[in-house]
Amino acid sequence: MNWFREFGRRLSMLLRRGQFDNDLDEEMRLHRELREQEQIESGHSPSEAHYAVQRRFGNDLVLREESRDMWGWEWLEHLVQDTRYALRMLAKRPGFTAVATITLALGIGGNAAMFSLVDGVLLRPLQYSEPGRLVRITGYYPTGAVVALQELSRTMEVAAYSDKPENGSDFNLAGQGEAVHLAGSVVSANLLSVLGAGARLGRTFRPGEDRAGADRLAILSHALWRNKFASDPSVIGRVIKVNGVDRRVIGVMPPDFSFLIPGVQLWIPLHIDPTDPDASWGHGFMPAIGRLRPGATLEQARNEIRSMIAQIIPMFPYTIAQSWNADATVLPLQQDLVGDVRGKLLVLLGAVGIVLLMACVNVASLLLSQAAARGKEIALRAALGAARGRIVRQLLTESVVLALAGGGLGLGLAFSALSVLKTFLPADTPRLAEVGMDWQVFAFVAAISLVSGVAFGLAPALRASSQNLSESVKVGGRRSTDSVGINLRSGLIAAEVALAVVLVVAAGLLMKTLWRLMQVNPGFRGEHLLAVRVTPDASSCQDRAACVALYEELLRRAGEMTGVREVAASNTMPLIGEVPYVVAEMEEHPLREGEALAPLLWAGAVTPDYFHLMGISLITGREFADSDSEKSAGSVIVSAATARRYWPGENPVGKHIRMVWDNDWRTVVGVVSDVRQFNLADRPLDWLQGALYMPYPQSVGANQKLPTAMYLVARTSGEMAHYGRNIRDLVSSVNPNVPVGEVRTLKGIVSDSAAQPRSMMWLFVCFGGVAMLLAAIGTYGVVTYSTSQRTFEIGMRMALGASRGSVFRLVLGQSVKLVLTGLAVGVPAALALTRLLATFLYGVTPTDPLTFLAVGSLLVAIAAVAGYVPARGASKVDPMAALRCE
Amino acid sequence: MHQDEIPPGTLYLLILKALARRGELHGYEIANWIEQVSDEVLQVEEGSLYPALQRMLIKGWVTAKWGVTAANRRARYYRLTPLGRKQLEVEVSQFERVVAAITRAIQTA
Repeated sequence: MNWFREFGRRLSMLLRRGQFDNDLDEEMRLHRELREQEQIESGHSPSEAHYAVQRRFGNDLVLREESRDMWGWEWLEHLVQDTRYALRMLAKRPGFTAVATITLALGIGGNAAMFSLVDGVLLRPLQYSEPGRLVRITGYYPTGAVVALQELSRTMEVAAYSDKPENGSDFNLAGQGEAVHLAGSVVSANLLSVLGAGARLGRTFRPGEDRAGADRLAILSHALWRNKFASDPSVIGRVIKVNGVDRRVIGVMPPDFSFLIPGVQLWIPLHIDPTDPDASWGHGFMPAIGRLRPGATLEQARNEIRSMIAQIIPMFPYTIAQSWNADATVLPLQQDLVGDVRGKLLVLLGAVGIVLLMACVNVASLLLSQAAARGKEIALRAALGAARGRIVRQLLTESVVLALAGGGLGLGLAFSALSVLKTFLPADTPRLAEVGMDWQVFAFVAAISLVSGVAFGLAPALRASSQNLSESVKVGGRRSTDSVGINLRSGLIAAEVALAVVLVVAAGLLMKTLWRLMQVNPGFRGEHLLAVRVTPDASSCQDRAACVALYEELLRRAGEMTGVREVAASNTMPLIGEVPYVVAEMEEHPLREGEALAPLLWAGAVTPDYFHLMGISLITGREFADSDSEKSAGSVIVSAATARRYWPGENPVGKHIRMVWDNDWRTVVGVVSDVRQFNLADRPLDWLQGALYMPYPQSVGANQKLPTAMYLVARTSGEMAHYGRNIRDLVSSVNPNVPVGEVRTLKGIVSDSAAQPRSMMWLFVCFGGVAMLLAAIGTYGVVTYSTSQRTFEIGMRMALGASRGSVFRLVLGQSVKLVLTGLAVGVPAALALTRLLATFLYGVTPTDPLTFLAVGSLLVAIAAVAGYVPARGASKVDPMAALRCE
Repeated sequence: MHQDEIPPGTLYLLILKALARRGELHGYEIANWIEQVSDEVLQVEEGSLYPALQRMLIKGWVTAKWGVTAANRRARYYRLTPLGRKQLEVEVSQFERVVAAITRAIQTA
């Protein structure tokens, strides 16, 4: 406890410093006076006595400082002193201070924004109870397999949920004002309890409520409850109509509950019916999660999932490939949800880090020239007895104060940068909504401000404090050029150029990627095409005939609209992320080793004019016709790649395909060109083996039912704005209970499908632009400074006959040389680093020579621009004036 | 008269001793007491006296209180704390050990 009391005494001294000084002063004065008296008594004259005592006492000031240092607070006093001095010095040079602060704010602000993204998306634990025990079981499972997993697993409590329209996350909510279409999720009864989420109002599902007969229930999201039910608490127990089925509302989730997929507004339980093998095993494959049981480890769960899959495969009522979910594993849920966003964010964080590094380099370079200009001030302080360490500390305080100012400004910048970043990133980035600034971001900003302050301040401070005293104090010292300083700065700028090369090359590669993607022929022509999704529910599509008739009527009336030239319907559109599929068997196809007997095929359901409208060309056979009706023999059209894969070297027309649940075979009547259905980059989905089209009246989805939600596609002439309203009016005049989605242009759909590479490109273009700007300013700064130091030399050269042109070239050459040095380092660095970008590139290699060449030329051009102003200034030097002024 | 500097490390000991013998003293009196009892051999430098007193205040060996001298001047009087009294014993025994050791060393033929 002694040290504790000691600290208390020290602290009270700090708080009563003025009192302490006065006491010490008075005490020592008394001491001196008594000593003087003693001297006088022993026969000295008063003045002799005074001086003798003064000598003996020594420097009063030093003594007082020493006594005070005993208390151990000198560092604090120095800090206060240094900070005051730093603020005064910075205020004296507003231009420098502004440039340095803004530069740092750019670097620090960008980093803070990026950090809050990384923190919110990658680092912060999921907002579920005990998130560390939650796992993802990879793969997609039909209801039957989910039940089997739940019964078999000893290590996990397994739950499942639907995540896309194909497995049932599309809902029509009727009977609450205008019919609306919204995203929901069909979940196993235990899903919410596995997540550890409770209801805000009412309750969540109970075990068994996902069994057929007990499942007519629904839970609302807080947003849906607020918007559609006016936050009415009596909603619990009320019956609502979801997809034409009556369901009782049993709960409302809390406002901050964030589900596994964004945008979900409604939860309904699974409909598990063991007596219906088709429904249990044929469709609605959905993702699964689990909660590790107490004591179970991830490793045990991984081992278990493999054996469970092997047990489940024979349970399928049809033959499924032995390789089904062979690579299924168990991952921490957080890792899985973040997925490929992780790599992207880390790459971006690296890029922002480079920008901060460059900002530091620029400020360091600025400080170096400041240090040279302040040489005399520093030399004077050293001559007056300031120790080197003390001067370094003072200069470092200045740079830290600068960095903190930059950090403060950067924090403000980060707030706006974060909202821009959030709009840049695709909306389905997991956990994006949770991202915000908090104390951790503040701590991060404070930390990087301090670190960068020391980082960019150290070299200039050490250099400034080691200046030769007499050389600097001498007035005539001006002629000597500060060659060490210039070399150091040139090195810094070259490093900066190298960093800029890395970022600009990355931006270049991403630009080329986007350009390539936009050049891709997606397999259809989207010009003047509009698509709108209409989603009648089971009540308006009670039987096939009614549904077919509804669309016939819609198409007929849409075709009569002015400005509409051609119209068709399809169950899906390319590049929007929907994947309708069927499980089919291919006739006369010899099975290869490990190949599925019943492959999964992408399955389009289209009306006869679809191919012509979309510009999908017929390769052989015929297109669909009105005669391909519900009653006529089944016909299908396959894509060229599918024909090649299953019937290589044969004529596919006349072959047969059978849906695994059908008895009748359907005949292939034609082959059409391939369409990039899933992405422009033509990366096919690994679980799909081909693509087929069915005429709408004969079509089925994976649920063996006629697709009810369809896109109306129209070729139009003229403005698209008013078609949206017209189509809406049209649909509601045909059936007011059918919700109509947003009208989109096909060109817009294509462009949106490149949202990810585009956002990545824009971010890198921003970083690259800032990096180039910083490099240009840095180059300009160092060349201008060195030219100003060489005025005498230049005057001398001109006096000796050098032409203005040769002086111009001399200075410009210096700037270009700087950039070339930077390129020499930056190009190999970029070659090494762009490999990290490989997964984001398409149609361009990470070492694309053309991009590297273009970036090199760009930077040399920037060097020329940055060097032009000082070069011109130098060539205008009047030799007489230059020589005389020394 | 020749005056010697106080050997390093013994200033605390001497100050503690002065206060132990005389009770309350101010800085000048401490310096004077040391010089007088050492027959003017030991001279206390003011340059070390005051920092040393600060150090002892921090350690809690002494306390300081303002008072009035016989000549009616304000002066800061130092006084031993119980902790300081203990410290005096420690310093004395340490000093005696060191002196004994040095004596042995220089008497070795």
